[in-house]
Amino acid sequence: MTSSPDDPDFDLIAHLSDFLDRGESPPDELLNTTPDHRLAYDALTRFRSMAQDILAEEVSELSADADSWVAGILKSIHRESRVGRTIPVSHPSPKAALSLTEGAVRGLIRAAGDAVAGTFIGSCTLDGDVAVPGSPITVNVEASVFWGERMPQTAKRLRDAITTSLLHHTELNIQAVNVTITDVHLRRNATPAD
Amino acid sequence: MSSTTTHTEKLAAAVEQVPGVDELYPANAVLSTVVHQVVAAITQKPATPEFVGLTETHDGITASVSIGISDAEAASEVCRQVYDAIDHYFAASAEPDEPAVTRIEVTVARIG
Amino acid sequence: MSALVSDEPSNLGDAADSILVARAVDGDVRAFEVIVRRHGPLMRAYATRILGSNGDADDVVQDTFITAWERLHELQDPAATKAWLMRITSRKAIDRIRARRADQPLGEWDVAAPESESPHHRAEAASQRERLTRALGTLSESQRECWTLREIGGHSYAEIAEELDLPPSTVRGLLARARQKLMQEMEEWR
Repeated sequence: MTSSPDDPDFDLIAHLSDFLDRGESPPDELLNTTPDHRLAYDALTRFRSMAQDILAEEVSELSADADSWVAGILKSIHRESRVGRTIPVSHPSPKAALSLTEGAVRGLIRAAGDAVAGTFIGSCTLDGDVAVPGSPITVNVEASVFWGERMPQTAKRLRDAITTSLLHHTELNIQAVNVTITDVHLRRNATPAD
Repeated sequence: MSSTTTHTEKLAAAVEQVPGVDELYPANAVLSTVVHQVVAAITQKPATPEFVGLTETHDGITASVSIGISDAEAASEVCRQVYDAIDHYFAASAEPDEPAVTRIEVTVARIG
Repeated sequence: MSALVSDEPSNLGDAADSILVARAVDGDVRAFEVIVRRHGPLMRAYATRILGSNGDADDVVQDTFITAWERLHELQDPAATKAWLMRITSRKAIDRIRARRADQPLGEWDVAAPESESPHHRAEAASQRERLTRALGTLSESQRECWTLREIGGHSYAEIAEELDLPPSTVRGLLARARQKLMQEMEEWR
């Protein structure tokens, strides 16, 4: 399907589109053949930039009624898929099989980290055999810090907060908490300080 | 059957009274909820998911519960107190003709 | 449903996608909620553009996020979260199109939409967007789909051909005709 009898310009559009879609500019000889060629090419590029813009305009209108469908989405995801390993909790009774999920402990680590002002915890892993009581465990977390924070001090505050929380809530034998600053963030909705 | 239902409801109430416990998750979440809804549809009763699972094994009854807790209390300690509450419930309510509870599983799935 | 983290010392809404993705992979539903709020509206607008109607678009976005939650750990470069989500959105939208098309013969599928409204009405179409939307309304369904996937989604001919199960030459033809039609329609409104 390369031509249409009642459209004399048809081949030209397909031809110009090929350049556009390859990210190339058509040769000047082609554009300068007749004014129509130049006009057609300008129109095609204009539509392309309009296409990029129309979604952006629509987004703001759709954002307003977001709450109900956000709730619907969150309800339908499978949270069970992130439970992780089982971390035992001791009890003198032989009948007892007590545990924290790895997912719960990760949540604890994130909460401890987030409580340190100006930081976000990213991924966090528990290295070691958490299923065996007393096994040495190393915690590795990645964090983003607010622009302007002093990184060594912030990293130390994060380490301390996470260690304190894990010692309080779990029976894990924590050998080390390693904090890697992977990111620096600004506030999104406020202008950054000078 | 009715005694099992009574047990699970009373157990759930006992677990909820432990300080720090703020949520109970349905036992065997997806499957049992679906079964419950089917049963409820047939019997016209509202579907109430079971929050304490009771399964009979070779050695006796296993009780299991999955909970979310606040971070105000130490998680391990809350976990043990939930065990104690369940153990205490069975010790107080056991009938002579019922099989013994030989295992109590408490899983903390969320802290804070 | 818990409210969105506004009482926290650091508001998760300020966090970069890379941080949110890492947390969601670890099971943080609130981080995932921020991702949904940040990118969902764009995906919804995009799905609506591909499908041409609102009803299915919400389902497509929901399906997309369910898939995204399961496959977030496969996302190689978390900084490219938006592009990744948009790709899943177009796949899911195309699945709907395929299902739709299974119910009707291909001939009808390529039938041009009814003639656009009166010139008088056209003149009132103020914004560029409205004009483009009207012009798109004059395309056949298949032309509009190809155009949307190409110009808004940034898919290549080959990708569109594969996804829509069409020969690349047909995609090229559909796109050319779509552009031709748009040029004519927009020309009249200048």
